[in-house]
Amino acid sequence: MVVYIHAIWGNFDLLCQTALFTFRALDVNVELLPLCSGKYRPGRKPEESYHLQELVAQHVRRLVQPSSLELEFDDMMWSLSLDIYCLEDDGNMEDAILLVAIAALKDTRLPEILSTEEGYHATKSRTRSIDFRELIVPVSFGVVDSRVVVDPDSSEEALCEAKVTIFVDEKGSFRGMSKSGGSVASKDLLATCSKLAVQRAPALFSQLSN
Amino acid sequence: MKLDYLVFAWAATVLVEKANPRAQRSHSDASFTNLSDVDLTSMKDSVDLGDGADGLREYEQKRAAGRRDGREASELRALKVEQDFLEQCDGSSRLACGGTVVMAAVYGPIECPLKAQLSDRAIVRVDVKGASSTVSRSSKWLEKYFRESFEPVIATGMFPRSAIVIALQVMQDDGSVLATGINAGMMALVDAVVPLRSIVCASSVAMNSNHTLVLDPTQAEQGEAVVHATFAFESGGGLVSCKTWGFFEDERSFSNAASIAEQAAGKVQAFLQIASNRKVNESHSI
Repeated sequence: MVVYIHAIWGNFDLLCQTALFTFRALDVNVELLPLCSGKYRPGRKPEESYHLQELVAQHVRRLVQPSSLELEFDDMMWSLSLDIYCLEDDGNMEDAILLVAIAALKDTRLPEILSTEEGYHATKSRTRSIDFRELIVPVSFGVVDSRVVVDPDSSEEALCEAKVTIFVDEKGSFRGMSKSGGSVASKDLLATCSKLAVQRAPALFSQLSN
Repeated sequence: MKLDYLVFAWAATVLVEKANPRAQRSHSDASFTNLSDVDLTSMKDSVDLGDGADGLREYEQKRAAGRRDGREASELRALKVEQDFLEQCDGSSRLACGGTVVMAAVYGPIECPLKAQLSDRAIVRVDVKGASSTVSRSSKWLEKYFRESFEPVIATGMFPRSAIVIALQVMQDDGSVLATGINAGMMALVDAVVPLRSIVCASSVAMNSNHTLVLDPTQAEQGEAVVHATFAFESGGGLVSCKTWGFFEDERSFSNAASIAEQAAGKVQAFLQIASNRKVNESHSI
């Protein structure tokens, strides 16, 4: 799949708050350390960090079933705090970070909450996992000389004129597209990308379910 | 013919900074009638049912789309643009698309710090400030999308070791901020006479829970939409950039949304060209 390694920690905090109709209690932090690439300097967060945070937050909000985060009493629900640290950057960060966020959330175990006189206690003995409405993965392509390269690495990304990301669900159907600017994309190019993405998606889903 | 009427209506609402005050006052929405304001009861009882019946039918069609402001599903909001009102910058524009107002200022090409310089072309920097006064993280991430929509069409190769700065200020946010910002920035680039390969115009489409695609969603429509997407097309007709929030049902709804957005982008481009020509003619007449 991808050459580089990401390590992530999925943390969860219990916050007392009223039940929300839409799932807004999600905090995403993406750290692009100088460790992962020479282009990131220490200090201020690079612009890509904010962009990736928004990307993950928007994607995850639509995948997670908000009712699975609700608790049985007092209109409370879990608030999720997702920290993503990039250890090595070899291109196609958006795909990798989205996939890693989904994988982390699939792996998360929410403890049972007991209500006692002293307050609320979390028990580690009984845990449950988060439910998803559906799973949708991104498949990114680089466009070089009107040719399409799937999952570009950093040297390929430097040459790309444009980047296209296709979103595919578990049934293998096209669910959305994002194209970042650059050269103009023809309809044939987008159709090619769409077809390739549908072919590649099952491999990603099998990785996620392991 | 309906298209022509709408384009004319928008042209009639263009504000020109150096025009006389009378022209500014006459810019009201008189040329763009909103059928939801029409009094229906008098229409039904009137003897002459010729115009009334057509109006009623049109009104009912609009209501069927179910939009709060009475627009049809593929109807843009009224566009108003003002150019060249800031003195210090090379180009400026303020574009209002219904309730969404974005102001853009362009400085370029200007001196670039050594660290950021590129030897063969200019760098394009976009600064976005959101509508609220606090530093909002939510608008900073939009900078990437704006930059990627402007950079391909600016002839950056003409100005090595320089910078072209586009500063966008969201003054009012009533939905479709990304699209309005791209259009405002493009107007400002034209006003600054930055060499451009083509014009990029953007529009956004939302799909609500009834599975109807609505063009140019308001803040409320965006909030309740299942998915909304902003498309930017260049004047030749190709897709420059596209951003979706949420997921479409299938490829067909996505391509429907893209074609609706493409038509709308064409209308926006026509409006921007009329506005630019107006401005040039006005300055020539002085």
